[in-house]
Amino acid sequence: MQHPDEGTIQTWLDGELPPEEAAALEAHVAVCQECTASVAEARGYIAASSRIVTALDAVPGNVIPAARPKRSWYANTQLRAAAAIIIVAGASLLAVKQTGKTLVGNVVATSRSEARVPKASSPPMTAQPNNTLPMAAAAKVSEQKVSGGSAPSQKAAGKVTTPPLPATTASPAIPAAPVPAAQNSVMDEAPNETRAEDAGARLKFGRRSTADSSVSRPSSPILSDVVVTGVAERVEELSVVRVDTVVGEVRTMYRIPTGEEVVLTESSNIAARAGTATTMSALAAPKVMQKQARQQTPVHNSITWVEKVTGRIATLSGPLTKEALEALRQKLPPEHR
Amino acid sequence: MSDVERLFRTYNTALVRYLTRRLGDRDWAEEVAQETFVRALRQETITNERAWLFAVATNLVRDEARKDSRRRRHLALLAEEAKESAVEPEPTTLERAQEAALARKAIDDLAEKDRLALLMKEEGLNYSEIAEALDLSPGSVGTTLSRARKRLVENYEALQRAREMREKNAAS
Repeated sequence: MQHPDEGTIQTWLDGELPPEEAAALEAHVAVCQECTASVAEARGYIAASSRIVTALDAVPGNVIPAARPKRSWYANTQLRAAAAIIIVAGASLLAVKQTGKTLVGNVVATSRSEARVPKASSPPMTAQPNNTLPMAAAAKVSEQKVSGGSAPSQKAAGKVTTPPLPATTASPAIPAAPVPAAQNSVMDEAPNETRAEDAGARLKFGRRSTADSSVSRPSSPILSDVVVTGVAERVEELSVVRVDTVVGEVRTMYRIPTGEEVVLTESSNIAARAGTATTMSALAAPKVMQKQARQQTPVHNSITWVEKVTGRIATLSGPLTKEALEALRQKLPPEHR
Repeated sequence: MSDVERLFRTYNTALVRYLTRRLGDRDWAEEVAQETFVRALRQETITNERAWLFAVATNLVRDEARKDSRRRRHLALLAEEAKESAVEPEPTTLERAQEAALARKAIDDLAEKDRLALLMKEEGLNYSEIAEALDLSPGSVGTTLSRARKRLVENYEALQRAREMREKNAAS
């Protein structure tokens, strides 16, 4: 067999080669030093790039400067001023009639044309740095992982509480600006005949910027949490540091709040686990991975179980007691427990 | 559960994450994701759901960027503005913010299709889905990803070295 090119190696490592070709390539790599080095390098790039992409998740909302018009007609200053006058007048009239409700949303609807208004009716966004998304992202690095859709559902089911959507809550860092659902069209050219449908869809999804308590809310914890935080996963104590994937095995490194790191290794079978242990140690880690080297830790323990959902063999290891590792295991997403 | 609700529960998180990584702005990402699901409402059938959703979301971002050149400039400046003007609901460690800024610069330097293919792969799309979403031949996805990953890591390391050099010069 000829030396495989980089694209073929990548396809193989991503598990996308047909079985016969994969077997032939694997047999060749086993006896070819040059290709062994190429494969090791490719594996390093896969893991490192995944780590870099995960770093993108540490981003807040409302980064784009606020002066980003949502609707084309708002660009017309005269129309905007007229709309502002009408809405303020309406808000004043409403204030006279409704003394018990928050009217900020109606008044601030005018400012929506000027600014991207943060959703004040929701609590502060779940912080990316603390982070659930990298964990889910890491869980999707390998072609062997569960599909993206099922993970959040399963993760959210066991963990998420459903905070009520407050009608008036404003985050200290975000100005109070709930907006009526009908105002929430994103695109400039939403067809008129679909606006009612769009509004209904947004109500169905529980557009969190509305202060109207009559809006139907998603009853499921997953949608509620997504509406409130923007993410369906909220693993508060584990953050993914890196994910290494090799054929038959996935190693996910988590950092816990105390700073220690634990590694979850999942493989399809014990033979794969034994076979890849040597391969992993032979990988030449790019410098970006070397930067993550941690200090030597004292006692190292590990626990092993068979994942109920996936059937894979999982091992969680780290500088913690077995009891602590068991407790951490319960904080993993359901499909990893 | 309706089809769209099922699509939402299944794909929204991954889609928002993909868009956040693409755009560098979580709120904007959520808006585009919502619009994507609204468009799904109008489809009678969707053959390959994940590929379709990611393709539509990608096109929405591209169409918005084409329509508004100001947004394109904003995207190019995200790495600096994220630190200076963002209203963060919770504090981000300096190290994570620096890593995020470097990652943003590194990934923005990739060719568009390379970047999108990589982000989609990170969300678990397989090669045929990526090919369908980005209008690539399935046989070229491996090469695209190989190039993207290598370039991303090299960019990131170069930016890291440059930053370390600046810090070293500043300290001396």
